[in-house]
Amino acid sequence: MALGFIALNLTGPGKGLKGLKLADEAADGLKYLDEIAPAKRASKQSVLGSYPDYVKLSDELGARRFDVPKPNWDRMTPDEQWAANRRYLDRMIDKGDEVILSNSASEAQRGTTFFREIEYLKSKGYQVSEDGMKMLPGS
Amino acid sequence: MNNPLVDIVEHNLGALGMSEAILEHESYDPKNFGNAEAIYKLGNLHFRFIRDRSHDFVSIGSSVSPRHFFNIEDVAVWMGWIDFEELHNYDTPLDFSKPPPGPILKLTRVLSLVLKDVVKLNEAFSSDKLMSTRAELKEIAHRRLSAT
Repeated sequence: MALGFIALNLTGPGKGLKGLKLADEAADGLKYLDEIAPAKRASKQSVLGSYPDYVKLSDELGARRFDVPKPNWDRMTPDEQWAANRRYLDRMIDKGDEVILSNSASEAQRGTTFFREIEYLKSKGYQVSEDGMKMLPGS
Repeated sequence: MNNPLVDIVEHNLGALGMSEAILEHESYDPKNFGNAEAIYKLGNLHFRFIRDRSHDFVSIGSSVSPRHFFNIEDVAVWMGWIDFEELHNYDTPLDFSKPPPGPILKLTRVLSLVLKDVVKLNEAFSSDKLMSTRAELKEIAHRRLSAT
């Protein structure tokens, strides 16, 4: 906990690459070390989507989701926020999680984070399932 | 705790003279990201406003089928507010080193467009017309997804 908060408290808009790295690590640290209940940490499922659906579904499934406490999120620049989000996706890919979508991929509006997440996973070889509710890894 | 998205939506609705819209549901997560949701009813129309990781966006549905919302991009193309080219050129090419810019149709712009065409929209999402409207929006969604 302490490391994450210290790192974020040192980070603010305009702090450049050093700030980006700190925020990235801090967001990950908060999530992975402190914010995920043990049962969720052990899950092999991750839920992506739009609020509030991804929160509800991940709670129902006991699955992982990307969360950052609001005070920390508000201190981060958009670059830092996306870097933390992308890092979550990279970890999810590395862990081989099943990627479940709380909202159909067809609902994602261009320019939103959910749309960007889907396209990022596509760039890593994933495909949208036929029903639009999962991202399937490439063979 | 006050839902800041409701405050913004109601400010915009008031400024546009659409204060008769009724808030039907709202939620706010002050712990994570400050995500929020607000659903309003205006005649036959339902508007779902979402704040997700600092981006505000809107989708539109019918009070006949209150749990289903259509992607605003499809509604915008169907209404002639934007064309496919403008939509597909937005945030293209994708640069994964940069943060997403937020939706092409920002909240204020959507509400202004809705106000301009509220009579047409209200009819299109009425119980008499919803089935044909849904079919046309589905066709547009298919074209949008084929081009992605």
